[in-house]
Amino acid sequence: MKIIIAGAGKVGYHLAKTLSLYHEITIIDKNFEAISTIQDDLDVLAICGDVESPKIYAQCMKKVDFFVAVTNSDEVNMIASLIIDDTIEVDKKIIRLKNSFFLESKIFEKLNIYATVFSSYHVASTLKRLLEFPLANNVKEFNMANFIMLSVRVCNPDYVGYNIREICKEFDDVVAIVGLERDKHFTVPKPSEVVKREDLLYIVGNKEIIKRRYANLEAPQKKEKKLENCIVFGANRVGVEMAKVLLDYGLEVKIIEQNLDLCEQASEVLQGEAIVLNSKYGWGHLLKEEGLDSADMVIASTTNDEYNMIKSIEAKEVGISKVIAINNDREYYSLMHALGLVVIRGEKIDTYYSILEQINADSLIVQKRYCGGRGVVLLKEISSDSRSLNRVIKLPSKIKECCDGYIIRENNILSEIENISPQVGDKLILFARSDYADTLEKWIYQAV
Amino acid sequence: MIRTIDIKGIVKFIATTGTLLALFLLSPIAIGLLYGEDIQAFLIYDLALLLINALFWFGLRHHTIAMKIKGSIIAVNLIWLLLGLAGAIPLMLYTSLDFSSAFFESISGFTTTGATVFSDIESLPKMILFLRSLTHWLGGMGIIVLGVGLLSIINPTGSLSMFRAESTGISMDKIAPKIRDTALMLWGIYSVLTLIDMFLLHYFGMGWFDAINHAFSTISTGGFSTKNSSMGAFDDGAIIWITTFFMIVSGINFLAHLRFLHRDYGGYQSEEIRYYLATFLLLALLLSGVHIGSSDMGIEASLRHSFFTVASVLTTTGFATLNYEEWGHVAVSIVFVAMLVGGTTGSTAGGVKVIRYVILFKNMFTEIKRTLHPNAVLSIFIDNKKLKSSLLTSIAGFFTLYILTSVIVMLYLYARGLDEMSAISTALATVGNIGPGFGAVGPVENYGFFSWYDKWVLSMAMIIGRLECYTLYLMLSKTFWKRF
Repeated sequence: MKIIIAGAGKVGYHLAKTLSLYHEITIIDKNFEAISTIQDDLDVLAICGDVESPKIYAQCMKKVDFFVAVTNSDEVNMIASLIIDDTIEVDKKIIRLKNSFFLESKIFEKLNIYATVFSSYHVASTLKRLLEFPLANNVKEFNMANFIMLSVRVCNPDYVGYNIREICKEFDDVVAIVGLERDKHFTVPKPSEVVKREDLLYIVGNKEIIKRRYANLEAPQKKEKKLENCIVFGANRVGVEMAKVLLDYGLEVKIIEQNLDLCEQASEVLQGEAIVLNSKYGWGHLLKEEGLDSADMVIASTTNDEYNMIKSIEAKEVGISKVIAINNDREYYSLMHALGLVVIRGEKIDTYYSILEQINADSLIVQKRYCGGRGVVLLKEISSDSRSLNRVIKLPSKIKECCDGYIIRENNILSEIENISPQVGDKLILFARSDYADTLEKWIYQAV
Repeated sequence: MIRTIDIKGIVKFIATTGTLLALFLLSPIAIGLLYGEDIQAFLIYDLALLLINALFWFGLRHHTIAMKIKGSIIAVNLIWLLLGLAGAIPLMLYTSLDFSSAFFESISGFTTTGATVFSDIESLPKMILFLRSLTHWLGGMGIIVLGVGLLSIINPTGSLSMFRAESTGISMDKIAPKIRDTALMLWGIYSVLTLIDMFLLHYFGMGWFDAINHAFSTISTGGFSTKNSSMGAFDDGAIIWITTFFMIVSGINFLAHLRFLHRDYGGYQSEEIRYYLATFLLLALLLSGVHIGSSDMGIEASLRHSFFTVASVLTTTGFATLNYEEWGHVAVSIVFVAMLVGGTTGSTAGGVKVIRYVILFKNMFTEIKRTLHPNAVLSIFIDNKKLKSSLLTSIAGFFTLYILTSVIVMLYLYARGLDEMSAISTALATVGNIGPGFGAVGPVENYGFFSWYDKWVLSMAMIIGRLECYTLYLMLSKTFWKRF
């Protein structure tokens, strides 16, 4: 496919890097440094210029499949998506927006925009899912009917000693266990694998069924401790969106922020429902004064990962059990995961993944990562021109060894895929350690 | 160190290039067949070459090339050495050359230097003459560029660093998102220009065989001819003017030609090309003036020979019509300046390249300004874009290496007994990939008299010049071979 990306910031760079493997990419930005870095690193056409100027598009191809606007400014993204129509025929336009007041707007239909990515809103909705499953370590949603992936730590002694097959039975055999983390080591478990205490299990399946049963694994008959008080570090867009979600759940929210301007904005947006604290002089004295040590949950949502990690560790030291950290820089993702924090992708990373999914949604393979990037999910929908349609999928032994495969048909997750002939609309889903991602992807491209 | 380098990738790349070369080498065999020459040895050699490379390629067909910068540098250097070897063997089979001379001739061909060791070119078999021109043509646009283009059809990633390793220093602009498209388009326009030149030469009276050889030689800015007296054998107005025109065109960035085909004339308006054309006109007119004053030729003939000579030396082609050394010292000085300049980036010409001088001069003026206004914030602009300061240091580094290489070669030759002017011009003519120089290697002389070890030194000088210094010297760096 031919894709034009406007904006060569972090999101633009990583999109270009990933997409350039299989597509023709043109990337445009005003920033000369950013463009020359891309010129040196990636096999894409990098143009230095203003994305709002019609002239710049004259240097691009005349017809493209996607236009992706990911500059830092909402207005620039929208204007660029209008301007480009003058010179280039674009099939689909995707723009990234930050201000959530655009959410309800109908303007995008008028502007002929295919998809918008509201990352701050999206990040907050991840939190919403976590609140739905308070005992889960993490929850991921797939773009299909009611399926989630949930990770939970096995602490209930009743289940220690069960093997994976038996645990699946506890869920009426309609889920799959696709990952196991033990002593910071990740595997895709065999059915005969015996579960030990403190293992982290990754469960995929229907949301309702998982919701009913998963808590048993975590603790015996323990009543879910009700969350009441919550602290949010950072009053930026994501922090405020998070606070909104928490307030909707009826929690008490206190936001802590160093920057006075951000504090004022946040307090205006939240209309006093949450208390916004200005912590110019550190938060030590606030701990006692505001009773912060009695919080049930802490979310570190600044744009600075180092700060988020430190605040999360501090919060754990104070004795707060539920700590969530926002991850902005992918290089820190594994570290945060290793520190035992619940990690939610920050705005930029979320934008990157959302846009990738939009672009890949058509026919290609969707790739997601889990368990701190150590596990990979590959998902491919069987379409009417798939090679394996109505024919049994034969997994080569090389593939069979390294991954766990399922077929999702309507609401069911079917294992033993070698006995099923795929139909249109079925989804083939593979789970594996991420070092096998390339091998698997290549195989899916060729065989499925 | 070894573990971090994609050795299989290097082998696969060399095998691809080798297969490509073997396929191209079928064409001189066809020429030999056409002229009823004894092709047996050449054919066996070529088939063996094809077989070996194809076998390696077949064995590694599933390997995905993931070459990083170090691997690419090794691969490029190895390919250039192996190209020299592959081209040398047929020369040894059909002529009385020893290995060093054959290697020199072959490297001189692939690097588009055009320095020959043959004194009687016309006595060579037609297929060997064609082989010499073919080495020019393959080396001109860069057989590696072609390899990258073809390879990335099979292998979508990992060839970017290759592309950069062959043309270092100043980054090549792209006009299409994928490097393979750019590479193949470049080869496309290169072939088209060659065809046009060939037809025009034939139309104005050259035989088909001479026309195709000279077209190969001209567009690649090489300089091998099929005649002993080089282009002097075709002392016909039209042919000389056409060749002058095509030499100048080949000295211009091929991306500008590509953009021209897309009806975008902006490519020709870049500062580098304007300075290049201005330099050409200035030197050519000066030389004409000298020539008119010193000889009894007509004005048209003087202009023709002067324009031709300056174009030939400036674009590092190295054709000759007349012996410019007979025109006096001023003429030699003018030609000497042309030797130092070279063509533009992205062209087939060698030498220092105009853009580097432009940047250096601009830097010089900026420094003068800075002395006068110590507090001023100053930057250098090229084509209305601010120049990255790292590029300036990289150019300074290039000049250092270029001058160093030339001086070392020059001192070596002087120590070997050449006179001053011959030593200086031989060094510049080989490192700059020009071909003829002054004195012992003047336009009517050849390189045959050098001893075998001199030829190896000069061969290395040509490769260093073709790869713009950095690529080969990088391998000599200690850190290159260290893992950390």
